[in-house]
Amino acid sequence: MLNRIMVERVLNEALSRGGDFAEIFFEDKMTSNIKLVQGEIKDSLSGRDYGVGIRILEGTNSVYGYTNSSSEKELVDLARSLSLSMSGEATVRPQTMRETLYSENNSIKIPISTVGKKEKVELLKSAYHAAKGYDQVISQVTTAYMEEEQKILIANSDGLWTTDSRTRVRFAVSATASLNGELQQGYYAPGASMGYELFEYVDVDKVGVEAARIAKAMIHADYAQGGKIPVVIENGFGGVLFHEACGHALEASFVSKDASAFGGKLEQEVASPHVTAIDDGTMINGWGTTNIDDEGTPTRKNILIQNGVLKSYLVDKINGRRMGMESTGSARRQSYRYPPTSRMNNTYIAPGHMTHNDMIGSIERGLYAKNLGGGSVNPATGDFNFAVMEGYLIKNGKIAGPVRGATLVGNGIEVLKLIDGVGSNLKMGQGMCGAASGSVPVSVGQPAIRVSSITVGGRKEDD
Amino acid sequence: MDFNAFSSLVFKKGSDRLEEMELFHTSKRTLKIEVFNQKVDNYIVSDSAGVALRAIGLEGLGHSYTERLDEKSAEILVDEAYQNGKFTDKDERPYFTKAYEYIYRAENNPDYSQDLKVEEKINLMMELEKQAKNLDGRVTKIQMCSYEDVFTERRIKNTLGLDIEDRSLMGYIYISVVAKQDDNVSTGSSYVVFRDPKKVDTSKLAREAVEEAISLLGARPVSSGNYCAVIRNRVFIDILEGFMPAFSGINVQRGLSFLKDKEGELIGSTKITITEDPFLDGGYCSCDFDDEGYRTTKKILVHEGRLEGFLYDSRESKDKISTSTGNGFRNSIKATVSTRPTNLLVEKGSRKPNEIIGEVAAGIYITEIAGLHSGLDFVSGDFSLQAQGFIIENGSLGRPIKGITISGNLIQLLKSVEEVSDDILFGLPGNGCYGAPSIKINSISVSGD
Repeated sequence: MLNRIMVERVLNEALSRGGDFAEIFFEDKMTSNIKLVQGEIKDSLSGRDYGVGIRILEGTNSVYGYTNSSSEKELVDLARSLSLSMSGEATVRPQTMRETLYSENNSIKIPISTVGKKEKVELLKSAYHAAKGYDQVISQVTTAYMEEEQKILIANSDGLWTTDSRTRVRFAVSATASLNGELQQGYYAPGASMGYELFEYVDVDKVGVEAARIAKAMIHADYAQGGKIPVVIENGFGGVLFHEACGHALEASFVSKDASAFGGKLEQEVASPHVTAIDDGTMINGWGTTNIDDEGTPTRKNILIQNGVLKSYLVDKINGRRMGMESTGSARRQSYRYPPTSRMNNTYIAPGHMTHNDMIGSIERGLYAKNLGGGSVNPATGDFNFAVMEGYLIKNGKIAGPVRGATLVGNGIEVLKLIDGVGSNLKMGQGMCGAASGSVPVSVGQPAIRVSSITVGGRKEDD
Repeated sequence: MDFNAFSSLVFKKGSDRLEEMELFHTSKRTLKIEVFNQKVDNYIVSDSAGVALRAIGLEGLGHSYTERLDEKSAEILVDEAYQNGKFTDKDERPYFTKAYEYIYRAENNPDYSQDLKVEEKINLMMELEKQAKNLDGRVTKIQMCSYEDVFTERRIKNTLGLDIEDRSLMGYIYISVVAKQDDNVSTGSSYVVFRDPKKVDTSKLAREAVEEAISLLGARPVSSGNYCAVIRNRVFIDILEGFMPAFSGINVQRGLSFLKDKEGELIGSTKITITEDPFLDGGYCSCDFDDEGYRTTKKILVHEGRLEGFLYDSRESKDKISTSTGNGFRNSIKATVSTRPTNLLVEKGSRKPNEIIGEVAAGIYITEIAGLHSGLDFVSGDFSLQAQGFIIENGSLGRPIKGITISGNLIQLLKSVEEVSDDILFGLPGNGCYGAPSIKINSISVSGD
């Protein structure tokens, strides 16, 4: 860790030629990944990420530098070289730093360092056998265990000195089904910001069976026939719809530059009244939960949309300056290699009252998207896509045969207004989200929802 | 502690428990400049390094890495690799390279970019932003106007006596603009990869991005159906890169590729030939050895539609012996070795893109796709991707299209190639460097209205 005198010197140097804010982000992270294929451990990798990022702000302009070194000389040198791009005279002096610690959202019961690799290997083998034994169409299974413990220190010229420790554990199974020369995959990967006690909640054999079940369902499926149809999107990772269709476009990094489809729409109706959407960085042990964001601001529960009305953006410090808004505790970064920017934590659509039968029963021809994959969006236009990993046709109000390979595309502004039903079975799913400040863990979530019309990508064989 | 001292320390500390060790060291210096509204909005400099260890003990192969180079870290590095090796498959391991003489050929990677001062790089970007802003009144914002150059040094040292190093320098400029007309919003982007920023033509970049955004204003879907299509080079590159893991020998052996058992078979039209050329003149991924120290080789993956072979690293198992093709690379020190191409090139044809478009009576021109990381599955070969482009009517481009998907299977796509154009384009280097021309295919499934 860095000591206080040294940090003071670095911040002083950083502001010696102008700039109104300087910050140090120090990171020391231990990671371990073990991967099993065909019943054998193929890769076991562990290591240590270690480095420091220094940032100077002058109004809405930012300079940033990073290094693996933590020696005072090299950090002061880096601060000096960054300060050279400032205008000339020191205008702000760093304030005396006071240590602030924030409430613990992610209590850790069993630290990962107290559990040996052998035990983790046993979990991987057990899940492998559960998935492989599920059905004879399962031809290959890959299981993976991932853990990390990230320790950070953030100090800045406003007098902040704070630390955070983030432990995350994730378990992933990818099952491949093979039939008549075709291959199909099933994937399930629960994770949380908690220690090894994750496995008191997650039964790895069930994770394996779930991945195998999806692969089996899809190997027996036909290709979806495309077109614009009503879609019921199941709970959990289905929340990727909101994440792509709206969440990214609410990030201040786009809004502040007038490059968001949702810019200038606060207090306006942007979604159907069924939609209340929240980004909550404090959700206990959530995959995207931290105590403080990566600028040292405590995370919080931000209501983004309430009954269809846009209430808030996701704001970090520098974009907040551009917009004249306070930070919402949403600044995130993958590591010391990235300056932070506004990102999502755990984003979800709040539960409503509709039942499955209400949603599906009235659809003559539609799609039931049971498991979803990742997606992407162009925040300026709002055009988004995401993949359906397990889908079924809806025919005459009933779930019918399975369909493969459907990607859903639409426009965020339009699709939010087409959500005409929200169920009550809220559930969260875990994923990695990539953007300007790198890849960060996020949860997406929702109860089952119905969209009255969306374009489903499919294949039509030549007539 | 410098790498020489650190490597000696690691090899000494590991010698009692580990039979063979290999250290992979990279260091990077980067400069990034983002300009917004004629100001430097973001300015990022870095100097960083890290070391990865692969070690084979009495048990199996273990991996570890560190970004801190001191005595304590050397100890942890060795111990972690040893502990990790305890559980890995004893029958499958990589083979480290024996020492050979290698003299770095500096002419492969001249250090041009260092000649240009930071102020000049900033001016270049200011100029680019200004040009793009002034080209058309409908351009409302320059969303991103970004410069980056990266200088990388790579060194591989093992206990078999190998100690080789090289370096590379690469830069890119990217611009993305937003255009608005009435209620229509569209975006357009362009990029260039370079070694010498002085040779970058900013007005061309500005024009390409702006023309794309303007031409897409008012885009809307077409109705679902099967269409004859011309696929722009930039899109073909993205599809190929997405499917590249299917050409990995290890994925094939593990039954994780639809190309398994297809060696020698036709997987595309006879107009498709794909080569992997590590010695391509000016190629941004040109190199003489891979990240395991194996010498790279030029090879043909697909010859006139026939699948000729796969890419291998040095990993070999008891029942499947494969020889490295010099394609073992790491995404970073934090990643294990996997296969990727150096410069992958689809052979060009002789026709101009507009000639190919000119032959389409009714169809679509696909200029951009999205959703590659989720809508493309290299295991099954299936894809379903968000797309945009233009209608083709009687050989000319018509109104813009968005809000559609294109779906199919890679083999089906390659087999339906009728024409290959002469407009080779190289994409932004990612998991290798990919170059391809635009192609015309007789049918693709489109979902829209």
